[in-house]
Amino acid sequence: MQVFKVFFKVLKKKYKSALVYTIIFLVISYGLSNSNDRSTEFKESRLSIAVMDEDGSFQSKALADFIGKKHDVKNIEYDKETMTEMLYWGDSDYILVINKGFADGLAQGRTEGLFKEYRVHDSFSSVYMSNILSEYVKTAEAYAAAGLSPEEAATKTADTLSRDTEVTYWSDVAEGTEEYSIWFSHYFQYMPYILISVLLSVLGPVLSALNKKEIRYRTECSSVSSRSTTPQIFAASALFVAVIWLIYMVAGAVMKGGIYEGKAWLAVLNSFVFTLIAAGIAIFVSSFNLEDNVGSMITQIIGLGMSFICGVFVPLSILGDSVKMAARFLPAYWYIRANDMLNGRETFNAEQFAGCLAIELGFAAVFMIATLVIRRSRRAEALS
Amino acid sequence: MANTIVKIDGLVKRYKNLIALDHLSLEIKEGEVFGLLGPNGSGKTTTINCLLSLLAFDKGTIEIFGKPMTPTSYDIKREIGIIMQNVAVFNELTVYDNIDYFCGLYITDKDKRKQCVEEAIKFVGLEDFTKFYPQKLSGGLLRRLNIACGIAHKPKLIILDEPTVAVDPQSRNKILEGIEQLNREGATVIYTSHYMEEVEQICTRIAIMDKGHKVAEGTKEELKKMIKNTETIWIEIPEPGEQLKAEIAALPHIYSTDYKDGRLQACCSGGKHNLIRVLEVLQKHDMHIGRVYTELPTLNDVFLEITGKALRDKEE
Repeated sequence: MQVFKVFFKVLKKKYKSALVYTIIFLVISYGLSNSNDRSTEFKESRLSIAVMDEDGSFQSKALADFIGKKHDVKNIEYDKETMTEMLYWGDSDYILVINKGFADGLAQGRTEGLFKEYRVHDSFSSVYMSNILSEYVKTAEAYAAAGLSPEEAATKTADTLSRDTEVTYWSDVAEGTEEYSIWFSHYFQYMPYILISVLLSVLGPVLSALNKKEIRYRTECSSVSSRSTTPQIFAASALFVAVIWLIYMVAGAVMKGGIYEGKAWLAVLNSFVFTLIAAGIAIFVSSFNLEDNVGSMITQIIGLGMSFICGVFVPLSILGDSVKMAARFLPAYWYIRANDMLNGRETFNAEQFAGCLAIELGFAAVFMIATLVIRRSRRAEALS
Repeated sequence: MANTIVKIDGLVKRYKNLIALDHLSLEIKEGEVFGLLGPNGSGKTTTINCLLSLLAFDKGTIEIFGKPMTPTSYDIKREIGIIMQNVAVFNELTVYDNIDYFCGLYITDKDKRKQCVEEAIKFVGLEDFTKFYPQKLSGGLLRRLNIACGIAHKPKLIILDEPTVAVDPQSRNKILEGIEQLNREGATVIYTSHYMEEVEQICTRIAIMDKGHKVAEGTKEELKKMIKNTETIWIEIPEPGEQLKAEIAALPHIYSTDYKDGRLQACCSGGKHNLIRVLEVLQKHDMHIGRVYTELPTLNDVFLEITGKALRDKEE
């Protein structure tokens, strides 16, 4: 078990990068998952509007009432310093001063000089309120021009502008996928990147250290057969990979506050299959006995490159067709396709899901076979 | 009669059209420090790699401890210690863990291994560095660690492939003393080098290799007897005339003379009192004599005379 033990001794010197990746991943996952409000109910937001009525007419009160129906209105006295502070400290989103002569202006069909406004420049609330007021004035003047009394015009205007707009909330979560919570979709979404990064930055260098030409020669000269050392390295690698995968699965369950349910188990299975791929890539890269800094560069290229192209960082739906076509030749694409079926971005189809897993397993097998071929050819080359 | 530890017979190794080893035969006896001397590319490392079954060969046989050596001869490998030219240690393990790991490839018993590791550390003088990582060690200490990793399991046959390359003189002496000590403790040593001084210093028998051939074999005395030159006389004098040069060349046992850089060189082959005879001739001609010294032949002279070229490159 000498080789098995030395694997973990070497690992001790390399685990820090895995720790950093893991902490960052868990913190980001937790943050994203909790900040992500994807409730399916639309709720209007209310602005805080300060109104100062200098006109005191029926029409000006009707306007204040109209605004008060949809927003929180507070009446204030005219004091420039107070108003500036209110805007500065966010006590009010918009301050409206209804000028004296507002009622007369409406009757005359004027649009200029009816209000003064105090607002934060170019803020959404100021643009929104300017539109509302403009619309109110035009509508009220239209009713007045039609011969309605001021009372009737104010009522009609309020009625007209109070009609609710029907809001349809679009969600990318397909029906029937509720049990697979949004939280898990995020958690498993970034799994390819973290698995590739951790396994390539840790497993790769450890295996490279064990496969260093001089070390290999010295081991081959010893009384321990390669039939004994190879299974020891395999067992140690498998144990490490399994522990890493389990840590993420347990961390996911702990952060969520309970055991996985329903389709989440399929996500667990999907992540396990992808772990085999990441391990396969790490073992494959380690066959080339790269220097640590070169290995680190390759980790970034493979991890980030695959994640961007295959929809880990951005949904597949917004990627171009040519990018998606290229991504088909990369394993993370099939992982994301399977994950999308679970989180509702795609309709779940058991057959297609199994197909994605099968393709992923195919990739894992390709990396393992390629590693064996390279190592055998190198061994033959060294012997000849 | 000592037992034969290593027997190489008619070993041929080809790399495509290049013949790296051409019917090489060697026999190394128990208790010897056997030197494989030759310039870079002469086939020393190829011989070692074939010997250890790290390299397949085209023809010939190799026997170690009287048994044929194959890649699966683990019982033979258990008794061999190897110290490669390149340092073969884990940068991620401490000095102690490195020695423990490589020793553990031979010795599974924990207590016995601990004792062996501690003895190896003491032997190479790394007691103060057991918790150091290799990157923190100087070149000389690193070489010592490399040696400790190869000998901790107390092998009967130790193979050292140019262990002093790029090592400072002090560490080199320490390493050579260590090899002599291992030999005194009973180990048979095969030592490859292109440094003739090292080979002369520690080897009891030497094989000189060139282009995959063994060009000579024997003790250093035997090797030196193989060549014509037994002594070279150097005398600082003013430019001698042709008559004087001819007189010196005609003296008994002097087979060649030359004058360069203000020095007269006279190469002798056997005989006694050669220097006195040369000095008498110079005095007869009233030559002003400066420094006078003689040189005994080196392995480089042996190599030069046998192959027609110097053993070492000038910069070395």
